[in-house]
Amino acid sequence: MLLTLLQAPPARPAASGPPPLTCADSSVTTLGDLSLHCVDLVPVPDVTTMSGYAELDYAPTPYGIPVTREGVVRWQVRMRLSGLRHRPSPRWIGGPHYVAWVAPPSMAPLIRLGRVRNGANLVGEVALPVFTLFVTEEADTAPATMGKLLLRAQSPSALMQPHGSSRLPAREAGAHQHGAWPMPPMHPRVTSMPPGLEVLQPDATPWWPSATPVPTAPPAAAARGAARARARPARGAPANAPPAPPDAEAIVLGAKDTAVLVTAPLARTLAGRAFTGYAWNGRVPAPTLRATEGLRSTLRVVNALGEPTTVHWHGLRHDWRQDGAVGLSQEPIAPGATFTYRLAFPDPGLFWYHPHLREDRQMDLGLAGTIRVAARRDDWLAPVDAEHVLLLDDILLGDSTVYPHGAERPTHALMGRFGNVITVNGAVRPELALRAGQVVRLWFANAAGVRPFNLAFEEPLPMKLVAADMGRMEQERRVDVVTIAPAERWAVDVRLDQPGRYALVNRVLGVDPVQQAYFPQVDTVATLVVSAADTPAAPTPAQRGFDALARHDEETDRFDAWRDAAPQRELLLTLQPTGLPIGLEQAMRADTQYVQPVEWVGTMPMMDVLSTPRQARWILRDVASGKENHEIAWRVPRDGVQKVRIRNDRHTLHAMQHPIHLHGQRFVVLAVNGRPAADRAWKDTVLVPAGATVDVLVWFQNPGRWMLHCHVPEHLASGMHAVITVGDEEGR
Amino acid sequence: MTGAWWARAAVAAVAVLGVAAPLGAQAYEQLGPQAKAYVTVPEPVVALVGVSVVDGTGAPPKAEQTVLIERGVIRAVGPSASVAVPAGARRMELAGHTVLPGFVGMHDHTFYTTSLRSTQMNVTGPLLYLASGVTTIRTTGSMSPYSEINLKRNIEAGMVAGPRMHITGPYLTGAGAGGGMHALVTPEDARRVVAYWASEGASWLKFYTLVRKDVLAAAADEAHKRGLKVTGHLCSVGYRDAVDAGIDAVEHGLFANSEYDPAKEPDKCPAGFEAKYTTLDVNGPEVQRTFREMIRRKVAMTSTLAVYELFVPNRPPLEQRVLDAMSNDVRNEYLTTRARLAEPGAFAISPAVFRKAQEYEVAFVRAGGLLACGVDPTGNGGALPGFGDQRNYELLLEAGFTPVEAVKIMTANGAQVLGNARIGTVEAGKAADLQVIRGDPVARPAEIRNTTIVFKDGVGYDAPKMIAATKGLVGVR
Repeated sequence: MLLTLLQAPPARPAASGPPPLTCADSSVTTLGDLSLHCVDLVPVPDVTTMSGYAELDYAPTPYGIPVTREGVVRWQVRMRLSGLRHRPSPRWIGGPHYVAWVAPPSMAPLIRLGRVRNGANLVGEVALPVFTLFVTEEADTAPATMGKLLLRAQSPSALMQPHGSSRLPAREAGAHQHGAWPMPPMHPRVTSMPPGLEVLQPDATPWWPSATPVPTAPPAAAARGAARARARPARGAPANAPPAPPDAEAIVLGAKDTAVLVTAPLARTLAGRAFTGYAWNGRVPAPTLRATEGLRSTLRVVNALGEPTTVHWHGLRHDWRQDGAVGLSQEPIAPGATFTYRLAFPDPGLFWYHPHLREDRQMDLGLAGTIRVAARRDDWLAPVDAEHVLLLDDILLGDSTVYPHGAERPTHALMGRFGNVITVNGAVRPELALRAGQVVRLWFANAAGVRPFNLAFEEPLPMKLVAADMGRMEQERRVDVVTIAPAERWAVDVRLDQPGRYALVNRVLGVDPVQQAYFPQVDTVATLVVSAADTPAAPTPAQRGFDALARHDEETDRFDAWRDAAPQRELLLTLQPTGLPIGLEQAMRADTQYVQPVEWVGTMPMMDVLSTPRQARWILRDVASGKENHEIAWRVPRDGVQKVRIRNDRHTLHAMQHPIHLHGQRFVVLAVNGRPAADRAWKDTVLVPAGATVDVLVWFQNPGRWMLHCHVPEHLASGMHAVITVGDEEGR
Repeated sequence: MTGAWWARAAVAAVAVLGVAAPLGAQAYEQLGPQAKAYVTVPEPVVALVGVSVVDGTGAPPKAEQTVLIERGVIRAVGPSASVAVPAGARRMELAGHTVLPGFVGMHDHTFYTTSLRSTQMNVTGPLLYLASGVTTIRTTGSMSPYSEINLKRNIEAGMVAGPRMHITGPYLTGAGAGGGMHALVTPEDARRVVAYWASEGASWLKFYTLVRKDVLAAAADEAHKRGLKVTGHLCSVGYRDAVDAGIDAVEHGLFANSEYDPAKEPDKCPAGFEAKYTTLDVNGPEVQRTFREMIRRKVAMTSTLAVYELFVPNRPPLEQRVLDAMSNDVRNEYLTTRARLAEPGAFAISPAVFRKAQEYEVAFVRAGGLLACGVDPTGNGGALPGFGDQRNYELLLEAGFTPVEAVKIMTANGAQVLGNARIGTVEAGKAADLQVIRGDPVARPAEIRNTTIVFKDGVGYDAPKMIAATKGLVGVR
């Protein structure tokens, strides 16, 4: 009896009537985790009848997460209020009015959001890292300062706990007693770390690649390898050097030729540090493969690395046996061996290729390239005057060379390996030459393991979003940023009216983990150098058409019926720690009070490097069956359409975003946190922020056995992958 | 003119009282059913007969005493032979029991953390504090300030059984911090934010490790204008600079004073400074200079040994009642952390530094400083509200204080820091905020845990019943 009394919320003095409205109410509509997406509006002590809550959802965006140019998450705030009473008063004609406000903790600026009433209110957008919402009573509808306070609520981010809350100060970095592993480079903004970590080492041997290519089999012998057969060096092959690859920035694929990609070590210098990386055909990034929609072509991959590898053709809806997924569609290509892929390019757009084995080091060391598939129809997208592909990446460099990878297994299992040097097309801050008066189409692909980018031009340029991973935007729209998760692709058309230098800047918020403070992280990643037009010319068709926002029929509207349907499948993304060092676990736990929807910057290098898949098991859990990761074996009829709900568990030791990639199929994002997505396009990768629920509608058109996984290499290596069989076992 | 003078004086008096004594006596009849459920002594006139009394003033313990409570106030304290028990009073024969003033918990948050969670304790916090004899708390930093304000309201309205509350609003700190820590970058920020939280009812403000001296000075000035006080868990500002900036108290003793670190720069928090203090001379000129300046400006210090002890390997005692109060998850979290403290890479405090912090507090008091005490129910979760306050008693004795001194630090000194002359001692005329302990914590310090009845405003609450009600709930609600 006593306990029953205790468990009831404290009664409000002199209160009668309905119970107070809180985030526990059944009227809450968000599907996002309540601890991140709903806050109770707490009445001031002398207010006894009013209550309410504020739901925080992502503002409409075509991207995985809506952020401002400054990298601040844009929240759409809805309030549900109860008990606001109209009290006739001689002071107020037609009042009182109730007004919602927002302010950061410093109470300046104080922003008026607008009038609110009992019931549901869409009060508007808030883009502040930490904020307090207020509801006040006012004599007029547009007051300049707050009147009587009635209700207030802190943003969930106010629950962030600095590591210092353990009441122990952090230790200065540098005084470490490291063994074989060098101290990881610290983020310049974060110069201290939780005490104790400096004595820890990851459970792996530090590894740098060998600079010597291994001998390879004669191409002709290996090229005959059947699709699923183990690729191995031809017996008795002479110890010959790998074939000299054609040195070309792009390879135009044809129906009859067999292109060659030689995978070999490459001596590189980047940002003043010399190291041995990996490359295809001696280039970083690898040559852009050019194809035309509908092409079928063959491509021979020669492995001169000292370790096995494969190639995955990211986004191609082709034959599953050519997909490069180790353990599912092929055996690894052994050192010295060759494998010939038979590729098909059914969709126009930008795709990319990378190994599907030890991606944490093979991709990181340089094995990534783009595939540009031209549309058969000229009018697939509006004409442009120029086009550039920008492959975004990052790499972790130490003082003198690349920071080592784990020999036996990846490090950075929890967080993924953030680099400290950003590259575009393999270079640091490259310049792209363009002309004023042009409309340029920029195709972006993100080959970084874990880093999402939020790109904008320092000096804003008119920009419209035209294409996504696997096709056109159903509705083009003007954008001021390109927010791109790992493995995603987006294309924007940019109008260059005036000559000048236009810096393309990655602006995001980092978090100092010791103080849990946000700081702006600003990196120029590339510069458009726009020269004056030779002669004043008549506007090109691209310029004339730039303002039009095209609407394309991508057949996604036929899926509208699914919008309100229950999902057929539900996946939970979560984490099981399996023996982390105590110091690391303590530091991680301090971060669980609040989790960022997306981690943009690696600010905890020492914490990050310490975990391996032995100590952290990332999990994709099929909610219906309880099966996890490789145990999941969904069967889907060919041409089946299924709504899959993906929920990213916020209540783990380390909740973070996961870019979820489905091989060989295409899907549209239907809803995020239960709110219908504003934009639709065919995609193969979707960013699921921590605590978010994303509904995707998959059209399983392509038969075979396909992988669904988190694209963060260390998360994949730590278990996060499942298998989906479309059609029968033989992929028919 | 006269009338206007009277009016002004009356307003001023109300204002002063409002700060010093947030509540008038709260009689049993004014309590709601939830609070009444824990009351075991509802009578307005009560005599505690045959008890030993440690009165909090620093006077030696007195045996065979009678404490007479009348309508919320201590009417008389004296030898049982000489204090007459009025007719109609409830006479409680309590031989073998000790009466202490209610503890004044000066670092007693309403939130709780383990290494994994932070929970606002609106249910377990007030019950555990009161059940452990803590009749007044200063919250000294809140992670859910609005919820805390309403908890205070509910206690004052009699809806919830709990201690008197002095609330502080959120943690305030300097640039470079975030989340629940409100980063104040400029003196104007400080004045604006102090004004806002004063309007919300805070009577103290709590600064944290990154505040800059000029911002602290502006906040102290604005706070003092509004009748509020300022304390801090400092780092970027050393204690002498904080005294100069006008601070009223400093939290955590030596663990938060960076000014003896040779690497200390103005307005910068040096990392890991306290690890350098193993050889600090607490009687040397530098430390004594700190104490002199604090004493001259009447700046108090808060001891929070119980939370720091949690990080000293093989130190914190494993108490069954602590484990019982915890939810299953919290118990596992705590036991795991506790068991692994000695592993490489764990956050830990060396026994030498812990000992030095104890010496520092003794030296401060010996120099004439005003030391108060609180639990700080954070860290890795082993110092629970109330239970950790009681553990502080043992740790103060271990530091070198006498039992009488330790009681004074935990009671009257806190009342003095709060400026509340109605509480903190067992003396006639004071509010009847008392704790009845079975046994003799002067002779056997561990018996400080045997709280049976806690009086707040003369209403006697059943301590074991309140503890039973929190069983398995700490970390959940």
